[in-house]
Amino acid sequence: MSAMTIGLIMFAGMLALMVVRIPIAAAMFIPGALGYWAMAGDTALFNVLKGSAVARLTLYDLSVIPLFLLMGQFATQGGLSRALFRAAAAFVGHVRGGLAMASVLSAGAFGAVCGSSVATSATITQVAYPEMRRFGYQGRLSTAALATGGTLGILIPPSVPLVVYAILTEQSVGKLFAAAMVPGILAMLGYIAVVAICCRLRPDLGPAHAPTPWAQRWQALWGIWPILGIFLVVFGGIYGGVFSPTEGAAVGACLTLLAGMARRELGIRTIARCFVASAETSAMVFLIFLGADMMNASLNLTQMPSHLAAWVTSLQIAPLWIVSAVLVFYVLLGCVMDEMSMLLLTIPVIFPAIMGLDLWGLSGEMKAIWFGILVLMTVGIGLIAPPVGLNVYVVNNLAGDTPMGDTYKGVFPFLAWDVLRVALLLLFPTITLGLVTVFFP
Amino acid sequence: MAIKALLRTLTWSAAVLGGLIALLVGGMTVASVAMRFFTTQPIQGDVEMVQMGIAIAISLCIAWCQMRGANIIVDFFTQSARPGALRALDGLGCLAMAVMYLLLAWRTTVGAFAVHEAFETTMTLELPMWWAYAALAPGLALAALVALVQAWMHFSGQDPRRLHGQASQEEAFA
Repeated sequence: MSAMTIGLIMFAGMLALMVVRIPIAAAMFIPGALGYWAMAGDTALFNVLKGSAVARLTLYDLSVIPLFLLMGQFATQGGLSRALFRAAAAFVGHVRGGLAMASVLSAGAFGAVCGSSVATSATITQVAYPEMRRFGYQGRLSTAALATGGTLGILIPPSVPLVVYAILTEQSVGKLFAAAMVPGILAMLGYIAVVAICCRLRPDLGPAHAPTPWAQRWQALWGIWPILGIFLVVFGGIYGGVFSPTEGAAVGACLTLLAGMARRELGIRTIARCFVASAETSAMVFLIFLGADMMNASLNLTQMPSHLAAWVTSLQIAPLWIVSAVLVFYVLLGCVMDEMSMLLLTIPVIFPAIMGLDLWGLSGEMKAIWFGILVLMTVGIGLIAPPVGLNVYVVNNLAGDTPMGDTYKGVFPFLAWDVLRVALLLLFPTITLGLVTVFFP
Repeated sequence: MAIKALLRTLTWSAAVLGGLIALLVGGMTVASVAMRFFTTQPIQGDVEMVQMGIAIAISLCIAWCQMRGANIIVDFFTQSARPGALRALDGLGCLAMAVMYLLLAWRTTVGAFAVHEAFETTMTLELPMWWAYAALAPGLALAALVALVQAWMHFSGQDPRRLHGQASQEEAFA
């Protein structure tokens, strides 16, 4: 059997296992290990496995993931989301659809201390959804705004999927975070505009109410200074060259813990709950990493990625169309898979092919960063698009009284902006790369 | 039943310990950053301690992740499958994870002996490298045990969520 045949069998086996509910980590690990055995023999396989767990778990750049997850948990349980929503609602809540805009704003701000979209959705929903219902907002606008706003958790740095991309492609985490900043803010402003337009067309979606007095507004604003402070220290430190992203995550986690304790929201029990919640997610991410490592080691033996890259470069198709096709493929994959497995599974195979293309005459590093942000945005679409947007599920479950179908209907205008934004980023790389050249001249 | 309760307490405690180690590593990093900022001299070998600490922390979390059923699956294609079929598939899923955990635990242990004989150490602190290997194996082994118990529960028609009830968590807190 040729290596190529083994590679294809491995790939098919992996997909088959995934379809029948075998956890993705094992669905990648087991066919990968069998393929390695078939190609290189058992001694080689056992030798690789001796060091693979240690090599992956001790990787310094990856240490940032548990630390950022811990920071997100402290922020979630520490009541920071409530303060954020209160402040945003005090300023924009009174206009038509204002509370939905406040949800998006507070999700964006929360995304600046949290790197996961599901956590962002869940925490903002708990504080914002009851308020929106109280003021007579329609369920579909409320849940759609919350599910979509939650994607800002990964679009605005810190972002766990972006760290995974950085590791897989050997790019700088700091530069990718800088590149995500403008597209992330653009996403947030666009979502707010979508809410405004929807409410102008259908005023019953989110009725206006009396404005908050200025005294209360300033008071609410005072409540969010810890979040602003943490964000400035962490990212100021990273971009001012004071510390690395991993150190920044450690600083962020400790500061967020202190902020939560100062608000008397984090006691011993809550902190233990934060520990086990981030334990779950950290282990899940690293297990998928271990599975993907085994799969990729075998795929590299078959040389499939380099064959694919050579084939793609030889195609007589404009490179931008190839990138667009890849992004469409990501949207489709996002319908059945979660973002982390998608990245770990596809980036090692697809990335070399993309790097072989000439895109806007960008240098290798800039191309990698630009493509990473495009992938991140596309992954965000997968989180809210039917039939299985993960954020939609989470928000709908927490909300309880809005049918899933309504939420999906409500999500469509937001999806339109997502698609438009990806097109903009595709056509104007400067939007993404501008800030990178400012911070890293 | 006593064995299940023991497994639950063990797994939960390991996860909390993992979180605590991660937080301590974070605190140490903050101290190191502050020292570098104010006295230009960071804590010696801080990067190595982060690497080793986080690796141990994550290995301690794996069993809890397995117990909570937090490993990602694709459930899109089996939405209309019968409950019995789902149970069988999920049992197989647990077995597959157990194979992965066992293989990694076994090889990491072998790796620990190999590295020990080679006297490999870390760069700055010269910590023996075999510590990292040896520290990862117990977490992986515990995860394998959890996965095997869950597989057995799936196949014998019990709900594996009973392994980690909300009530038992409150017990553990008290």
